[in-house]
Formats: sequence, structure tokens, C-alpha cells
Amino acid sequence: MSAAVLSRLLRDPGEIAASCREDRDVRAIAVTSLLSILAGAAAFGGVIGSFRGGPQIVYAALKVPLALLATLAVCAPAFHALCAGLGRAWPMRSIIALSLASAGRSALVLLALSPALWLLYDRGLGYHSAALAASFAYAIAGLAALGVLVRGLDRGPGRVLTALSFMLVFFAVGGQTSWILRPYLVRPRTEHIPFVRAREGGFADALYMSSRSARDVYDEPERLDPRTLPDVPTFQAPGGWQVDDGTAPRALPVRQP
Amino acid sequence: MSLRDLALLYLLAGVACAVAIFRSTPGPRARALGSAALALPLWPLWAPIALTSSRSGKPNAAPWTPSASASGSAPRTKRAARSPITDAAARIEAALREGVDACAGSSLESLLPRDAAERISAEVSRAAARHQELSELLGRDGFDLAVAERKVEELERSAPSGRALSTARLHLENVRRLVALREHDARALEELADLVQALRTQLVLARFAGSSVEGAGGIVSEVWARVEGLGAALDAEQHADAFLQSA
Repeated sequence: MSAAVLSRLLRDPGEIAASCREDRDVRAIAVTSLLSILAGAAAFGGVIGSFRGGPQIVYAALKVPLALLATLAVCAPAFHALCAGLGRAWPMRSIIALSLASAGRSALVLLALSPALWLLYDRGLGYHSAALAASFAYAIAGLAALGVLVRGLDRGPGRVLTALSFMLVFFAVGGQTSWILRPYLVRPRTEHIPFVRAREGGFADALYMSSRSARDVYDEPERLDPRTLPDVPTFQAPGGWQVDDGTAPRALPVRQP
Repeated sequence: MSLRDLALLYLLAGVACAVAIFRSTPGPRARALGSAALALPLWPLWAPIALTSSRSGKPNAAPWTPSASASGSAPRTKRAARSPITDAAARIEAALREGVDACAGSSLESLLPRDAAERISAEVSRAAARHQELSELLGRDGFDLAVAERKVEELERSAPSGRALSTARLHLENVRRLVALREHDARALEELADLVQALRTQLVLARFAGSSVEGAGGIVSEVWARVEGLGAALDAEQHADAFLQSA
């Protein structure tokens, strides 16, 4: 990891972007950016996981960099093709270096914002506010990444279109990858924390459902006619024990005098 | 295909990339091993860079080449006969190259980063090219300073108040300004060459002696002031050219 590259990444994103574009020093930029992503995203993930605490800190610290790197790995060939198609036939290593530099800078911003977020969580932020604060931090980091990316796509025809295409692909892939690897932010009272939740549709489905519910549009639950239901006996465990699936009403505990 | 199958395929591709990178990485084996290890989990991102980095213009693989050699002014400079100015430009470029190579990858890199060296080199090549053009121009008949001075003297003797005399004086004044510009460029390049060589020596000393770069900051500031001066002089000349052409 080069301290000089790290300094350039923070202080002179235009110069880093030009180095990627002109295929100069890409190896050092890539290594430094990768390490920045690992450190910055892991720290940010750890802070998000600290909202629940316990193993979720480790889980989120692993999953945030994993989601970012997996997204970049999937997106890099698409970025290369988009660039070539929109008039910037650069080598693959330049595109990857530019993507990594953008993500590395955003990870450094996440690292910088982590202590503030941690402080907010420690002050007793609610679940929804915590999610909003994390999203806000992510948005700031995204802007930092966009700064490198747009500078890297030098002036010329199709610059805005290329940047928009990159963003579109990144958000689609990144959204799905993050969706697969969720949860990140878990309520403190949650008892069992899975590393990855069971598959429940995809990111696009979730977006669609959320946009509908935001407009107060909800699907009517399907009404079943009891007369049409088949006469199926309830499941009994061997030995005649009723299975307690947690849905049966329970008697309230009686306080002993 | 299950997630486990996919992970296995990913790992197999990673192993193949790691082997290829280990075999193709030049230099120390530890470095090759590190590069190969990085490729194992991150081959989609790392392999294209590690396998093709020898083709890229990274500093460790190939020495930095000043932008002057790539710019359009280089052939002119090469065609031109060796002169103190071409020597000064060559000295600056060599010193810049050595300075950048000396501090590449170290904490000194911020003192003379690659892009700064390229900017200095670009300014130097512009100044050297302009000096060459001025020299060629002043070597032509119509721009000879001695001839212009003689003509003014003759006209002063023969027709002290004529229009021809004022025209000859204007011509003489312009030729003198062109000569002054050429000499200014030559002086500035000579001084810059000495400064950049001093900076190079300071950086090399700091790197090998492990000492601080005390004093190098001052030289860097001085170098930038001279480069700005070069640029300012060139801009003034260009504005004057544009003005003369429009007039």
C-alpha cells in the first residue's frame, strides 16, 4: 500500500483519475484502492453491525466490503463494454483501476464517517433513524466516488451518458448484491441473527413493493373460502405432542404472591 | 447450479489466475507470491491488472519519460543543432526523470509527483521550442539586429525627421524585444536547469541518507516560480503575436 497513492486518492482525485485514464501507475492505484475498500467498508460495516452488537458486528464488517467488491467484479466487464461502446476504448486495466479508485475513495469517506455514525448509534438512535443516517453516509461516499469517476471520463462526447450508464449498472448490480447479503442493520431485540437471510424475491421486487407501499397501495390478501379448503388433519408430532410453532396463543404468566 | 458449485468454479478460476500471475510476475518471488495470493479471492479485479501491468506505463516497469519527448516540439528540438538551450532542456528533463524515479513510491513523492514533473517538462519543452523559433526568426535577413541598427543610423544621418526613420525605429525596437525575449527564455531555462538539478540531488540524498528533505521545499517553490515565469513569458509572447497578427 502506497501512502503517496493514498494521499493522491484523498487530495487529488483528478490526478488519480487521469493516471487511470492514461494507464499510469495503475498497479499501485489498484492495490491501494483495494486495501482502502477492505479497511473502510469493513469499519463502516462494523459500525452498522454495532447497532445490534454481538456477532452482527463481524457479519456486517465482512459483508459490506464483500458486497462492494462483488459488485465491482460483476460491473467491471460491463463498464469496459460501455466505455468502448460510448467512444472510450480504454484497456480493461484502466477501467478497473478507475472503478477501484472511485470505490476506494468512497470507502475512505465511509471510514471517515464511521466514528460519527458510531456516536449517533451510541446516543440511542432509533432503528429508522439509524438506517437513514447510514444511507446518508453512503450517499456522501457515493458522491466522492462519482467525483473520481466523472473526472476519469475526460471531456469528450458521451461523457455524461457514460457516467449515467455506469451509475445505472452499478446501482442495479450493487442493489441486488446487497440484497442477497442482507441483513446489515438489525434491531437490538432480534434474538437470532442469520449471516444471510433466506431468499425473498429480489432487489427489483423489493423496490417495486416499497414504491407501492409508499403510495399506500397494498395488495388485498387472498380470501380463502373455508368450504373449499381440503379436509387435512393438523400435524401431530410422533407421540401425540402438539408442535409449538410459536403461533398458538399462550396463557399469560401469573405473578406469584 | 448451487451456490457451492459456483463458489468452487470461482475458486478454480482464482487458482488458475494465481498460477498465471505467479509465473508472469517479474522481480522478487515474494512480490509474485503476494500478487498471486491477492488474485485468489479477487481475480476478476486483480488479474487484468496484474497480468497486463508490464504493458502499462507504471514507474517501476519503465522509467518516466518526459512529456517533451512525446510532444510535437521534440522533433524540432532533435532537428535543431545542439545549443546551450537544447542542452539546458535536456539537463532539466534528465534531472526530472532522475528526481521522479528517486522519490517514486516513497514519502518524498509528494515533493516531486509525476504529474508535476510532466507539467514542468511540458513548460520547458514549450519554452525551448519557442526559443528555437525565435532563433530561426532572428537569423533571417529582415530580423537582423545589426542591420536594423545600421539602417536607423543611416536614416538619422540622412533624413532625421522622415517617416522612414520612425518606421525603421519601430522595426528596430521590435527586433530588440524579440532578442530580449529570446535571451530571457535562454536565461530562464539555464537557471531552471540548475535548480532542477539541485532538487534532484537533494531528493536523491534524502532518499539514500534517510535524512529529512529540509531545503527541498524551498527549491521546489523556486522551481515552480521559475516555471510560472516561463509560462507567463510565453503567454505574453503569444498575446503579442496574436495582437500583431490582428493588427
